[in-house]
Amino acid sequence: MGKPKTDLVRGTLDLLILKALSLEPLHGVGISRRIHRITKDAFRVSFGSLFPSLHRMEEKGWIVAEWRMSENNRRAKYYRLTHAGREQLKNEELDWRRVVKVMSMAIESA
Amino acid sequence: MPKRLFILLRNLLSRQKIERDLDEEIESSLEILTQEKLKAGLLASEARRQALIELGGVDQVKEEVRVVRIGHSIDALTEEVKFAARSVLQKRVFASGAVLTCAIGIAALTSVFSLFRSALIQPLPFEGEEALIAVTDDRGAPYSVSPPYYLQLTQRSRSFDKIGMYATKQVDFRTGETREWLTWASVTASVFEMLKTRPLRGRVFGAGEDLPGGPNVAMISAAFWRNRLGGQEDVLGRQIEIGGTGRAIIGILPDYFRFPAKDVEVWTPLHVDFGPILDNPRARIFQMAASLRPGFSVDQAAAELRYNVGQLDREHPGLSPSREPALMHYRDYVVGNYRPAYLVLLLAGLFVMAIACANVTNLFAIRSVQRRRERALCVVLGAGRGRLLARPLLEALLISAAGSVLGALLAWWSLTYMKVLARESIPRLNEAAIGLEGIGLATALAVTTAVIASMLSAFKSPETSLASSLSMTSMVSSQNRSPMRRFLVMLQFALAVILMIGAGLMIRSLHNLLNIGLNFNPDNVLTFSPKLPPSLYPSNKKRLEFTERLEQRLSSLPGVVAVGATNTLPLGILARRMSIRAEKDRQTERQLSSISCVVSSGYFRAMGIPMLRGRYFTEFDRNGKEQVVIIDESLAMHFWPNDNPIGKQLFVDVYRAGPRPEPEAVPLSVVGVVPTVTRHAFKRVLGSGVETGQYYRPSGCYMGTIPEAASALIGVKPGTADVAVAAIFAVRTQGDPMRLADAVRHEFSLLDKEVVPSGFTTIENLWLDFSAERRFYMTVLNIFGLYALLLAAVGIYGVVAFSISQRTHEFGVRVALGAKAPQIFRLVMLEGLRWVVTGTAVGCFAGMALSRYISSMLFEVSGRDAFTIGSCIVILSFVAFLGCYFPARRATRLDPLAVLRAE
Repeated sequence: MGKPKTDLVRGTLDLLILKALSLEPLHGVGISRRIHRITKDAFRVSFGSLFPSLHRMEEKGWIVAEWRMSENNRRAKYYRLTHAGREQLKNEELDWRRVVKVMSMAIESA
Repeated sequence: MPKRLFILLRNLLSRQKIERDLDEEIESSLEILTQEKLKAGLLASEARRQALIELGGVDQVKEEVRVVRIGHSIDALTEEVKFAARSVLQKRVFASGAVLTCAIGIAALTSVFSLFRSALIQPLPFEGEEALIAVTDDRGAPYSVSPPYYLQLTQRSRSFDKIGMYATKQVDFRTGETREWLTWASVTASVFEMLKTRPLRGRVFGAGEDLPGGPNVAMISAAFWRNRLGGQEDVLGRQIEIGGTGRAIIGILPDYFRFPAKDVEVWTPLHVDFGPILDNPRARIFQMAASLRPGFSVDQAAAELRYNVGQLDREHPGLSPSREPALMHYRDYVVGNYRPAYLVLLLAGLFVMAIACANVTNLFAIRSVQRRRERALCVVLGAGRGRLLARPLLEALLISAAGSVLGALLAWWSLTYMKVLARESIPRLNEAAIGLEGIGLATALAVTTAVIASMLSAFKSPETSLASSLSMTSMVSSQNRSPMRRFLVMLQFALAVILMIGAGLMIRSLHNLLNIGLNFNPDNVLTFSPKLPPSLYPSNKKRLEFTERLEQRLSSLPGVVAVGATNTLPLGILARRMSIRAEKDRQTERQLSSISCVVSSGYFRAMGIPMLRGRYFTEFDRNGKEQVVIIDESLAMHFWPNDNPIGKQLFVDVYRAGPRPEPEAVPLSVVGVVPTVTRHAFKRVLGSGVETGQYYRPSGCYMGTIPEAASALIGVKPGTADVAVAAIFAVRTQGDPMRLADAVRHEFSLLDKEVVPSGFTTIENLWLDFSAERRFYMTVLNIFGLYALLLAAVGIYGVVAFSISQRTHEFGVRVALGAKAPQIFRLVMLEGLRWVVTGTAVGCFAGMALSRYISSMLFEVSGRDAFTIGSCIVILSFVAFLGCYFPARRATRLDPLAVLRAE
């Protein structure tokens, strides 16, 4: 029971990050704040999970990073979606909707 | 996939840059968080603290990111290796002890294994070698046959596929003006078929070519072609002059073809008349070899051969050689009596390796206990089981790898040294080379032992009592009295004792050998023999003339004390035994098979052999009416224990050639008695412990007539009266004998330009060669014994020192309770020595039991020699005592207060 749960969480986190970046590039803290906003305070993602996911997704080629000046005139590492990332976002959204439909069906029945 | 590879490389190669980037990112995120908090109204320090809490620990986050990166496992491994290397370098004493131990063990085992492998396992370097059988007599000496006998055997044998006959000789080879000497083999065509020989060029002898009247052809070795003919292309068909006969080269044999001897350069077909069956021992100058027919075993072939020989004896009595034939694989024939020696050396190497492994095990076990604190820390920090094991494993691998490299170098050097030491006295030793198998075997053993040793304790120790590990409180007793460590120490000492006993016995053997009374004076004697080309000196008579003139000239040279000649030097390889008897009747019981010698009159003076009774030979003895003989003491004692032998008669047989060669009994009158030249000087011929005595006849004496078969090879008319020739010169000089070599050469050239002297050496060198074999065994076993001693000393020291270091608390308590220094000292010593005593005792008994297997290598010393065993025990006890003494002394110096306070 433990392992599938983490996978689900990781997959979910990836989707959230991709969604968070779909509008505009953000730095790590910014991504955390946006996820908090778009989930309406329901999800608080720890930085111990966020940063590893970011770096993993960067290695996968879904996002790229570059150093920029933040709103406070401080250097920060900004991430943005790549083309492949956008594709991945679309696919993950589709998958997620499908999973939700099936699960709902399963739970409703019987 | 290539993308992943790219990223992997990037991660590995730009590690520092990536780490810096990560640091910056985390730092910048921290700042941003802090700013947020500040904006929310917190004070600066509080804002920072809250930011840190929210971030969740800088290092933890960084570590989480690192774990996720591609190539992390490689990174982690590299880190571990670096850490292991650092910690190994820190513990210099342990590391150097372990590396040295590994190296010594590997060097010892690899070098002797290489010897063993090349001599006994590797096939001789020619094809068909597995089926090749050597025909020897029952003593292992070559079984010499005559051609008709060979033919008869060939016709009657079914278990042999092919049988070949051959003879080797030194012969002269002429190119233009120069004359050189080389080893020549005359073989039947079947020899090449037997060995499935594929020539480098040209062809081998065909079936008909070895019959009388066959063509004068020859095959040359590749070395001959390269060195003497310059490797020229058009060599086939060229004529060369061998032994005065022109021959056409029809083929070149490859370098690895070394039959029947290593240095044969020319082979010619054997043109011998197989004619009527001759009963003449002097025609028995050929040797046989055969290849087994598939499906037949050596034993079957041997049985058949004995049967055939029996049949032949009945049909033609007296034809066969006097001894029984025996068969053995050719490879075994070459290595022969040295097989037990090789085995013993291999065993010695294994012992050293075993001691080394025991040492390594103990060292690593000790290290593992020392590591408990570190291990506990790692567990606390969250290292998994795998990581815990990885560290000691890596250390073990690093150490054994270093040990292997060092060991390989040491092994290569040892092997080179061994080859030099043996001076060609042991067959096939020079073929030895460090093979991959040797190093592989030894290295595998070392690595396995190191790994197992380091793993043992890692698995054994419980993860419980972390607290006690961390605080280093006194260990539970069971850790100190580890039965494994005790057993290993015992084992080490037992093996060391056995090795030392072996070495000690060898030392005594050599000592005995060097002190045997030679009864001649080996100092300052030069020897050489003239190479008389058969074309110019076809008969013994002509050779005799030359040698006598030479002797005369040499004796007048300055620096020469005495000159003599013989046909058999003591310590040389040639010696013939002939039957000598006190009565004319051939069936008498008063006869002995003795070493027969032909010497010139000056021989005894040159060799420093005193005359006990009677007189030396004079020039009148040769032509006088009576044939004379000088005998040695053992012959005199044998035939006339209570009488003066001077004037008495002895009889030997010589052969007159004819339709049926007849033995002729020649009466010899005893004119002198000399001391017995020790039988050990002829050991190669005689085997051990055979009393045979020696008799000397003057050069030029009557030796019967030359038989037909041999005359073809020697090149004289059959029926010529034969005289004996002494052609090995011994010149006693004042001062260094080799300095006279040039003067001798000059004399040769004055007498006859075509004759050159060869084989310049001194009797002392022959003596060194003779003792080289024993010296070699002794040196190798001595070195191994020393290794064993050293390793055992390190072993006991390490174990005792460690045991003490673990028991400091106990000693502190004892001292606080009133124990005095001597008591502590005695406590430690007794404990350490107790381990040693058991091991030594076991080793002594084992050593005595095993020593009978090396009896063939010993010389006049019993395997249970009390002096040797006693000395070994004493030496080993002393070493053990030293090993315990220093740690024990340290134990007595412990300050009890300091120790107890450290708890």
